[in-house]
Amino acid sequence: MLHNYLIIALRNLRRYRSYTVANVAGLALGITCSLLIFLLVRFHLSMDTHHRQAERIYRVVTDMQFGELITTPGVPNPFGQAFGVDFPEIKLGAQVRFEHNNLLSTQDGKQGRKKFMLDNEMAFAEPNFFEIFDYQWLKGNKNALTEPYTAVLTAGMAKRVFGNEEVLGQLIRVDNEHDYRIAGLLADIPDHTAFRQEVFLSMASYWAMTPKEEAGHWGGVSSNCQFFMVLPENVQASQIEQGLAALVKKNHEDHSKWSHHLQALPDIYFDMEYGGDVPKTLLWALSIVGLFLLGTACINFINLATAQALNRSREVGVRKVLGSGRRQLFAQFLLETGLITLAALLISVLLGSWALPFVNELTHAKLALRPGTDLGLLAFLGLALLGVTFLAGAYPALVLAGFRPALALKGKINTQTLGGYSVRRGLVVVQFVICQVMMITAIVVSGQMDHIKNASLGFNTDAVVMLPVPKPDKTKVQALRQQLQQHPGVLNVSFAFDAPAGNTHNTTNCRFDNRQADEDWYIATRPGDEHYVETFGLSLVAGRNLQPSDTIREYLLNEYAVQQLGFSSPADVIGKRFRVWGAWAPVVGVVRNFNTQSLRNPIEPVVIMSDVTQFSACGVKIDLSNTAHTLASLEQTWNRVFPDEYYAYSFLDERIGEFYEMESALLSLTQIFCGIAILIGCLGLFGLVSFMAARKQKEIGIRKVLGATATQILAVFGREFFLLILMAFVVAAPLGWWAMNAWLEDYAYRITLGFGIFAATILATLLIAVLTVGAQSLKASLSPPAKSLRSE
Amino acid sequence: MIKTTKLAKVYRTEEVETTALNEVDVEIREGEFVSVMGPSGCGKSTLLNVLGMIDSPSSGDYFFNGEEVGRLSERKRSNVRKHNLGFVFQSFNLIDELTVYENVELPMLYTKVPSVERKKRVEELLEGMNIMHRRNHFPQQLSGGQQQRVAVARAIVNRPKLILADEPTGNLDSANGDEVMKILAQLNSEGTTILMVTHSQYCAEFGNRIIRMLDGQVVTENLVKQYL
Repeated sequence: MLHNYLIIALRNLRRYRSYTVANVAGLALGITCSLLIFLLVRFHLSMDTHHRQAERIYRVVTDMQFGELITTPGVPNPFGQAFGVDFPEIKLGAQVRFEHNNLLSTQDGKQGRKKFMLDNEMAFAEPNFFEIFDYQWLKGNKNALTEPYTAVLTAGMAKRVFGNEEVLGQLIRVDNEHDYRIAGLLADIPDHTAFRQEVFLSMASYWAMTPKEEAGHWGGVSSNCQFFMVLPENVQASQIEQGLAALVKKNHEDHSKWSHHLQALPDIYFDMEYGGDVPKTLLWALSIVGLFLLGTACINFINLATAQALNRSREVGVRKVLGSGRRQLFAQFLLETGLITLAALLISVLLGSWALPFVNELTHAKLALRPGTDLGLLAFLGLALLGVTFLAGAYPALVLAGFRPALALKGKINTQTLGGYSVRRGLVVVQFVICQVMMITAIVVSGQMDHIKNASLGFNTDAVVMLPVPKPDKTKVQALRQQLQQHPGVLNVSFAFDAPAGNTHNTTNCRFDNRQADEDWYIATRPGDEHYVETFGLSLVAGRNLQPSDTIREYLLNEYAVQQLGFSSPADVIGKRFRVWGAWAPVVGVVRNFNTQSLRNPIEPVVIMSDVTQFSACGVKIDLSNTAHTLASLEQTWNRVFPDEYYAYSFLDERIGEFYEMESALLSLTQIFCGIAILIGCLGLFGLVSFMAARKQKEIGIRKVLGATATQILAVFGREFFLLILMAFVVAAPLGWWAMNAWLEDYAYRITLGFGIFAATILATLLIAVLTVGAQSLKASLSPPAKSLRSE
Repeated sequence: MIKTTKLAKVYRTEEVETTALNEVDVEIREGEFVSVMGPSGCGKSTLLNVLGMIDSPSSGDYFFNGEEVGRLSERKRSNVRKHNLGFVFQSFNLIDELTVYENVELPMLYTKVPSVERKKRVEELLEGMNIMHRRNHFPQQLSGGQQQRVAVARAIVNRPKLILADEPTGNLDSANGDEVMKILAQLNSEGTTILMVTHSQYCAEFGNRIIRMLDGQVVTENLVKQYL
């Protein structure tokens, strides 16, 4: 019997090719998207789950209440040591210091020193770090990091730097300051870990380099300095947190403002509050999109299959007469759906493999599609096969199996007796709802992206090249400035900690004039020289610019800082004393407000002061008329001043653009998924309009005999679809509004959800519907009436 | 074999009620060849559908081999049907996607006849019907007469006790129609009971009794001349 079912299924699929292609294509697109989303979500959810002690690993995070709540994944420098004293029951605790933008170089060789710029691949770590987390030692063990100035590399990094894995005993130099002896070799880190470090330096080295007062400073915290531990089975996180309150009390002067708590390893990656990478809500939203796309593909299938059911009515009648029961027929038609789904599934795997590199590039994930070896993926595919077969196939199979044989055999099953028309219309409405919500999302996300990309941050980002300053050395800074200024393409040069808006965000406490206490809010610090205002296009609203100085002698505030200090006019603070980092100096000017971070964040109080020890960047305003030549000169000049360092430049506007990398990826994904949802929806519409044309054949014939024109006939279809689209819009508009409003709330600067967005959505849906159903409707309206009447 | 008492079939829509069969009493004995005649819409096809258990009566009793089958569930009716009845239709009702061989084989898949036996029976029948050379063709590649022969082969492949034929020659020319009628007469002479609906007096006289219907009722029952 199975053989018979298969034969007839295959022959039917071949006979009604366009139906088969539409169905397979719709399902394949839906399954491909959900497959990629599954891989992406699973990749993120599996982050760092491979550590044997994953369930008992915790990180200590810090909350500070200074006017507003400041959260950080870091701890003060002396935390680890104090923790060891207060919590002897915790045997496995380790302090780590994650490093960024480090220059790693080899010893002088035949080709000179080889230099490597490491973005985030380096960390100082205590030996216990390797007991807490699972690393595979190829050579050496955790004791390799007991001594100062020792290092451990992964095999991949060893090959990158030295070309081979025989690296024990070799020296690496970090930031042109210290040499580290390689004392161990680790296996490469897996893809699904958020700890991307491949060079570990002994924590003892960090302590050896750090002045005592800084190493023992409880008043500041860097997000790079983190503390991890493994909780023993018999100890609960809450017990440790109670003890941490006592530790704070003992060590912090203003202990009421500080608190620490434990964050479980699985939360580290997702908790955006403490520097997480991916919010879980995004993963759930993606999962919902995946389900929507799969759902819309199933709806599409149901519409096409039930419209197609009429062609099978006689077969059903014959089978019933010959003794087939409903169940057998149900199973037969479900099997056919299974075959279509299987074909779609195989195509999805191919499509998915093709699309995977793009997805990986877009999302910075490392997804792999290996159905042969990946049990989870196989389970997903199996589940998709069963789920889609049942969801898409059950209803059409029920309709088919329910035909009354006496009617079926006489060919009297028609679109009226087939029934379920309102079910199909309902399903099309659901499809429209999904399409319209996705359209609203795509329009809003792209609108917001345009808004934040084009919105002014309050300073000039055009034609500014950012160069690194490896060492904030007065002589070198002077040398670089002089040489750069000689170049005709260079319009201005400013040395600073960073551009007005950047990834590094430092805040500190401050005190104003004769007030007895620090302000109860923190101020963002933007160290910069006397050219800072001009180079970055900041505008002074009161007072004057900074005078040249190597140390803090004067301050510039922004308008918001003035407001926070309680003054309405910027002029009121000019000449008043101000203190940050312990340095009292007069406020000499006030600049217009500007953003120090992305436009997700609001304006904050900022202080600008000249302090050469803080200058780690150089902003060069260039003339764009001969950019290539100017850039080449910048590189030459820079390399002359810093021959041992690693040259890298970036345009400020591009760096600012990187703030919105996640949004850009989100936008691309939304656009792709929206396009696919529309495509699948179109296939479903096509199915419905074919069905409608058949259903209304008699009506059309009679109308035409009575004198209706083709346009009037088209209106019959138009009215029906317009109503469906309108019904969908009534659901989609508030749904889209609610979802997008929630998303926009993350942005301090956002577009308003105006009428235009919704009008564009409904117009686009109408246009798509017209394009999809137009040809079919036209065909129906132009067919000679005698034909349709005769067929009745 | 068949006995009905006050068998009725009423079709209802929201506002209209149509009586297709109005308290019909018929009896058909084993080995008979009964023809049902009457004008269009008189209820003869409805009677055939109800007796063939592909439609259920609205009221009245229907005994098949002594068992009341009018109120059986769809599943049980289907079971009685596949083991006892064979159908021949005016429009042949072959499945377009199956070959001649597969169409004839199909009823045996439902009665779970072993494959060797299936092959034997199909080949015998196709030989007997003189269409063995067309075994791998699809219905649309055959003439009307050939299609109806395939349909007859399919109807008898499970060796049913009763064949129900609904205007079996209605779509055929006279030569092909004649041939099909001869096959049915032959089957009847070998012991198969036949109930046939027809418009044609000529075809009706291949049987031994003619039931005439009008407005859902049996109006006369006559033996065919040679049996008088």
